[in-house]
Amino acid sequence: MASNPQALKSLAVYAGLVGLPLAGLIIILRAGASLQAPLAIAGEWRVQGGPLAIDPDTRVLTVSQSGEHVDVALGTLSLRGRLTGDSLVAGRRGMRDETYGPCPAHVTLRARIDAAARPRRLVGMMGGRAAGCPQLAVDAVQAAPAAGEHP
Amino acid sequence: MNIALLLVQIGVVVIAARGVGILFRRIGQPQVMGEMVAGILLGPSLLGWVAPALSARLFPPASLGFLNSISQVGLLVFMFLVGLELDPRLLRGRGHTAVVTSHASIVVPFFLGSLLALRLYPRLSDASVTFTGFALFMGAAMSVTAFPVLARILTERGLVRTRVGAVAIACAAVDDVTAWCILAVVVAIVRASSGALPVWATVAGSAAFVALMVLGVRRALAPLERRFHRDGRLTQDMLGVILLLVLASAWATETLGVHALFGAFLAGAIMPKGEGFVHALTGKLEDVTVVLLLPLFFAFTGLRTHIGLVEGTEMWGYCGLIVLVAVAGKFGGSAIAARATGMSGREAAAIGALMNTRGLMELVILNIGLDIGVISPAVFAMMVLMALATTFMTSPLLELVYPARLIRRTAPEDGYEGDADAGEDAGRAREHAGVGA
Repeated sequence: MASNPQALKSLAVYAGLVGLPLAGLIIILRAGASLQAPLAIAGEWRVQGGPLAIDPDTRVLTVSQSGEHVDVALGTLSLRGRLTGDSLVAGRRGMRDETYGPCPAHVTLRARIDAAARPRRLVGMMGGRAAGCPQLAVDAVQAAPAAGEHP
Repeated sequence: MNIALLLVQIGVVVIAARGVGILFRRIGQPQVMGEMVAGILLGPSLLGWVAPALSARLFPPASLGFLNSISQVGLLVFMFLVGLELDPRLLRGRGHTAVVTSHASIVVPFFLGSLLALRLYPRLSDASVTFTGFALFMGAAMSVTAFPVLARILTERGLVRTRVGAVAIACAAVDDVTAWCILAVVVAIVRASSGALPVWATVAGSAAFVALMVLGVRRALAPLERRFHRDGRLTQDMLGVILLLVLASAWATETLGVHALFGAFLAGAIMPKGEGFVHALTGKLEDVTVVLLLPLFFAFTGLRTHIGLVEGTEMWGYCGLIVLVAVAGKFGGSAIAARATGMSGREAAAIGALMNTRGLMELVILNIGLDIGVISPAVFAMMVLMALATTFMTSPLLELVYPARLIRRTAPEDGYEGDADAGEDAGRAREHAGVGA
């Protein structure tokens, strides 16, 4: 082997293209261990203390999550927003329905996630800027995490 | 279960898959590319967007469980066929180029995928997933090559009996086995962190099961092949035994905390590899799997793919980054390794282009990732787009870097150890190209 220059060259290439990335992978896994991902909030949240006036028939908030990016469905109302730390802000997507009761546009949910509570709680306000669109208190507890998600 | 609805769903899916598949074939793309796209078109990214009422009526969420169950059975058979295609002869005696290139074509994209995870994890994952699980999954998903699609392209382009063909087919075989082993470990780690079996139990149990299959069951299957040669055909009884073995193996790996698909792949890998036997077995199982069951998997994948989640500059930026990293890792890693070990620039680029094909193997892995919750719906959508992009670019990229006129001119002088074997192997794999192509 040692007398074969091609074999030596292959060995050097192997060390460079296989050995180095493997070493790099170990460094990446160590460096990444300190990274923090957003809170896991995907799943169903059951509204507490009676139905929301904005949609009396709906008592479940369904949250789907891709990291910081969050979709919140409340009945036919669909909001898209962002989770920063424990703070959730989601606004109207305007695709699933064009009018929504007294709040034709700019419905926004601003909430805070209490991650220490068991079950977790989502507490905040939802409403719009339009006249006649009330600001409603939202208080929900996590009922079930999304499928495939760890409890 | 609403049987009438299920039949309509299957009919719509098959029509869409065949129709779009044929269209893609006409523009020089593998048929599987069209079938994958058909699945996306039937999901929320198109049908659900332009005709939400029709989509909700045709694919109500409550009905998708049945569709998924049938598609999973199809996928088990498909993975068995992929394992069946795997011939240990492909892995022997391919020389320095194949060894270095195959390992580099796994490790380089794996490293780059994990590196990308440093950026994506804090933004597109969540705290229910560990960084290790996310990074290892991203690495494994980046390092996949679609062996069946690659075999089909080699045959169609007359590359089978060239040095490029021999190296590519050997590398793809190594990649197939390695990627599934890595993924088995990733799934074990993720499931262990969710409180299922401890990871050591999964790893030890899986190692014992693989040893049992390779050292024990594989030998026990030898009489099956002898009986096949004696009878001159594969009887229904023999097929029944084989299918039971597939189911038992899939059940075992699922119970061990890995995934049922690994068991099906393993069962295929340990099957006797006599050409007549493999051909007969493939012939019995392939058509229904390819025409009926796999399109259901594509449709189910499409129904879970919300391209609308990739919204705005930031998200499309991440998506572009994923495609870039995937191509740089697989194409770049393979091509640099091939060039550095003595292949010409064009040959090395051709190897890179071929290894960059991800096809439906990528979709299989991504669905596992979404099922176990290691990737989020947005990452899933981005990775599906990456799988489509890398599969779509293979044929034009290959034509660009290694045009057909050059292949014909250089092939006769490019004798390469194992060429004849590779030709036969790829020729047989072409039978599967329907599966992957």
